[in-house]
Amino acid sequence: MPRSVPILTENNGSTPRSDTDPPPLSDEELVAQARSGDLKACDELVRRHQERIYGTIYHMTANHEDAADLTQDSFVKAFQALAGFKGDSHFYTWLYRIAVNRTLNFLKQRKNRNRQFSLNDIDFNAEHDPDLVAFVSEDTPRRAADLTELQIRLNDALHRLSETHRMVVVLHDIQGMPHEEIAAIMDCNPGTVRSRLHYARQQLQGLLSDYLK
Amino acid sequence: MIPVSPDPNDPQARLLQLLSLKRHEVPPPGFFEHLPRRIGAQLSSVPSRPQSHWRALWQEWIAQPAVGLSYAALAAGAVLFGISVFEIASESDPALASSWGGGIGTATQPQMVFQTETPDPSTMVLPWMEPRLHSHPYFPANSGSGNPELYGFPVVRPASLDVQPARP
Repeated sequence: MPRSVPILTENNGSTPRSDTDPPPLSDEELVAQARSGDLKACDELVRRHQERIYGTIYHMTANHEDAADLTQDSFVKAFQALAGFKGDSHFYTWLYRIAVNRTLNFLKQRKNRNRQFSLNDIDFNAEHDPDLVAFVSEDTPRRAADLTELQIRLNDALHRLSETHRMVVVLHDIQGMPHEEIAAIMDCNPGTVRSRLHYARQQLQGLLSDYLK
Repeated sequence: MIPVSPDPNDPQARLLQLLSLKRHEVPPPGFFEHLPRRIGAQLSSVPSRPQSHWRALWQEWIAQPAVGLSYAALAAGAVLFGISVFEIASESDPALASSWGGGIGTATQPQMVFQTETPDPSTMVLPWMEPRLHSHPYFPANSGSGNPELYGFPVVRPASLDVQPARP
């Protein structure tokens, strides 16, 4: 069952809708309009999916600048290749596939270079997240420092995984996608996704053992 | 939030709680307001490359595996049909097979190849058997078998070689 994750909202909240507004167009309708060169439809598709695409790429690269460039690049490539979209899958699955492939290619090229984190800030809500309270100090000034340290350790552990194992963890445990959808995006069986997830979690448990005791 | 195992001591549940921190990492303020504009600007600045007619045709009709396979099967069937028709025709008319250089149908029946009438090589006198000097079109061949005109070959003499009568 798909999990609900706060960041995965369809409408990013910048334009609240009232009851008198016409119902929002589906992705398929927007894709049809974008195919005919309607830039507004492209804009709406970007607004709908940018947070999820950016989030996936950011969690894979742990670098905001790289993630921003790759997100922009993925959307541009997707719109340029829109004529090749047959509609066999959802638009966002197809878009995700483009973003995931570009990210994996980028990470392969970056392997030889020094890895550099450029981590985003943690929002204010993290200090009050019941899931995270147990990992940080009760002392309020110390709590933010603990969270930053935890963030670096967590990103470091994730980057010790292979790209495909990290991708499965990002898509399932962070983005909340079901196995079948991940399999469609990564072009593999759901069973492969499950086994990769199991292996990746075991690896992470070993790498973060001092936090999980 | 991701529902986790009720057991707080389960390492997997603790790991999922720890991973939830990643969802609190947010890009700089205004990033998601600017990104659609940047993408739109890039889309409008880069002229979209029109897809060629042949490429579209290829993607529409041939690149799909099922369609491609059916085309391949159709082509293979047409070739087999052609071979079978040729075999039937060559069985009924051996001359047809020999006119095709023996063909597929007569390759297993060598005697049919030798049944055709071929001229005796010893009686054949071909132009290229004669000395090349005599058959050269620029060389005046007045007699003998070296004259290429005897074999129906046109002889072209350049005008510069013709002897012009002297003017009085």
